[in-house]
Amino acid sequence: MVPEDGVSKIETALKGMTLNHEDIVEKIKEVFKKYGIQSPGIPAEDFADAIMKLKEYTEKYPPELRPFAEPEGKE
Amino acid sequence: MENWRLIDLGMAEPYVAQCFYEAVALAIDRGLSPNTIILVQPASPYVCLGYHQILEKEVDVEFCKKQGLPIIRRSQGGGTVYLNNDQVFYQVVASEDSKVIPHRVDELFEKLLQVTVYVYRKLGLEAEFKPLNDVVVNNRKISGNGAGRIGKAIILVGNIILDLDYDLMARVLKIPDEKFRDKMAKSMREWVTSLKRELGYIPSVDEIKKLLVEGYEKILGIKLIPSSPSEDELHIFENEVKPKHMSYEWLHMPELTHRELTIDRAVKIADGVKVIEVVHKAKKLIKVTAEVIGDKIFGYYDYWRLLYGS
Repeated sequence: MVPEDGVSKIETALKGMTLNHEDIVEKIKEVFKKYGIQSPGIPAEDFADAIMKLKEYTEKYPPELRPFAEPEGKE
Repeated sequence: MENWRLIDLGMAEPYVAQCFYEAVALAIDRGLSPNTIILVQPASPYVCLGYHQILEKEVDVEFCKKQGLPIIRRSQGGGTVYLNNDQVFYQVVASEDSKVIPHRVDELFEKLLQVTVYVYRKLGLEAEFKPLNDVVVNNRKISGNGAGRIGKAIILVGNIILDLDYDLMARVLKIPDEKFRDKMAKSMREWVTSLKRELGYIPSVDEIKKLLVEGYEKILGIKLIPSSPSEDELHIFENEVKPKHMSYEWLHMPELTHRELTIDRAVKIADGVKVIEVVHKAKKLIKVTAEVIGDKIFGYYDYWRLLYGS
């Protein structure tokens, strides 16, 4: 990636976002455009695929073991 | 035809070999220096860590200390490598105003690595450019390359590999289980090669440098004028570049700025907050370490490493 610290721009932009593939792709493309970041061979979709694996992981936890608080009344 | 400067630093101490081009890039960005190609060999061995890598996770720091091997974090991505005088480095640093340098990174690699291919072919090997940034012989990588940018200066750095010490390359890496070291060295033998291995001998460094100069002049259509570093560049190197690279903060940069990186896999760090590490194989490995709350990203960091032969 050029510049190499473009990664931190993506990080900042994605903080607080919900794990939704389409939204993440769109946001990363927006960051690439805004800062002129080049990431040859690794398109925004690949980053989004990687990030979405987080969701798979959180979903693998049985509800009683989920380490994050669930809203009241929901599983 | 553009006139460029050629600086042959000969054998230089590791910090000069690895980082001096950054001083040239800063000088070019400040309008103090012309477009430049640097040729250099490290005078002594060192370990070079990728920009995004975490020192303690990637490098056997104790071993390096015992061996007196300096550890230097480079400004480009990629994996940890052991480097010594068995490599000839080329470092191309040019202003974005140059007519012969592509601005797109993929085009930059494609154009400039034609020179690397030219050198290996002149030495009798069937070298080929392999996108994005490799040069291969018989499907084995024979040159590592990276690109960067400092202000207006566009940078491409890479090496001609004379010989490789596979066992030492594997030895400097941090490996969870010692049994993996032999496998790691074996895997490197499978995917990375050198002039000595392919030709059965190491051509003279003077010959290699002559071919590099020929190649850059032909392929870029430039004239290279032999010269030396300027006072400005030496000053920038001593006062800005070297202190940065020698600092604790730079060497430990990812973990200091992202403390969650020191945590493995999925760990609950507080009620409702956990840190997860996932790896995704795209064209390169993408590793994501994220602080997640529910299905929201709270803070995350990613980096990717070069997969040999990927």
